Amino acid sequence: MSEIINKIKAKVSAEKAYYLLAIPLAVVFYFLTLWATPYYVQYKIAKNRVSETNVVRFAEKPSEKNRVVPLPNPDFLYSTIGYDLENKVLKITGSVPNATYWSISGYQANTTNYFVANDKQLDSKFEYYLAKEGSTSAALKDVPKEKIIYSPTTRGLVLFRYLISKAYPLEKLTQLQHDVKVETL
Amino acid sequence: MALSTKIKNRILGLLIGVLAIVIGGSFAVYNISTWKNSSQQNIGSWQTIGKDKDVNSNDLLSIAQIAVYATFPLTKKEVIYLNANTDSDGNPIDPKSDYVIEGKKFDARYWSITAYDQDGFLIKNPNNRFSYNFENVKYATDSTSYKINLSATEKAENWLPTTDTQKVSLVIRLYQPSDSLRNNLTLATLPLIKKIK
Repeated sequence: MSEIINKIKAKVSAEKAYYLLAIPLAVVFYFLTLWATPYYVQYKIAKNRVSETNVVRFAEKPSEKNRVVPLPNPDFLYSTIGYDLENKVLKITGSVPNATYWSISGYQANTTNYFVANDKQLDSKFEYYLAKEGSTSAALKDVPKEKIIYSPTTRGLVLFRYLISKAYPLEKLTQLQHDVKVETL
Repeated sequence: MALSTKIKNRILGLLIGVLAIVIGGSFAVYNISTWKNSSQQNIGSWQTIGKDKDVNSNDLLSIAQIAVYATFPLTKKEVIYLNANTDSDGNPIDPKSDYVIEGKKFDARYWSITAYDQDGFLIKNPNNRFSYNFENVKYATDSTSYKINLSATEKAENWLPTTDTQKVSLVIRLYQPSDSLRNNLTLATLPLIKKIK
């Protein structure tokens, strides 16, 4: 290997070598920036919106004053849980409306969606256990598989969507929204 | 004391390295900001994720763009999103002009059309009206077609305000669309954005 390097050194000046190395370096940092951007976005949102992890935050109906997460849907009520599953399992429970769209979704640390369940798939109450992929926690021992959500990353976000509709106007939906409980196991 | 050749070369190497990092990073930021990528599909004024792609695909550029400009979307199994920044003639939507968004109700469990400002947030307006959806839009007498007035000037019906914004973009959300709609997103099934004045 040192022979090869010495041969290259003999043929190529130091300047040329630096310029040649600059190209793959720029390419690496191009892809590194793309890869890191979603993690940075998640971090910024968590810093702005979530004062504590593993607690549910109930948002009000979106308006022009909401300027943290882009493209909010003004027809929805949102709730979020910024989670950290280091040595923890979260038990998440609540109510599901019976005549309007509702969903619970999971987003990993780079903001990509890895889980969703909606009102059509569940009964009037839901109970989920959120754990890190590969978790061997005793808390999951007797939990049915369909109730366990495995997060690919230790940190992430659970997002609830409640559609404000004629069947479920804002006041009625807000009561349902506040039914969500989070317990750390 | 003149610097030795070795030290000069090292400084040059360091400067070139820093420049390479800045160029690589800046190019990534620029590409993210264009909101264009190979995963997109264009249907008239509307852009959406391509047929064989999804919001959580392995395409680093798409994931970065979605994280910045459309954070926390749901996958196509649940929702189809379409966005437009231009009218049906291909010109950028001017918040000071009047437009009519003409369409027919979508075969989806819930659908809406929402207007956003230059930063992707809801547009401040005196009516707190930011969108129209399957329940609150006023349909024509056929109970299927609608005309939404996109304008800074108040309109009598279906007025979607563009007051107090520098740019306008529109987003259609189709929650749990039927298979026939999902497989047939064409110019004929999507609304037109017509400039009136």
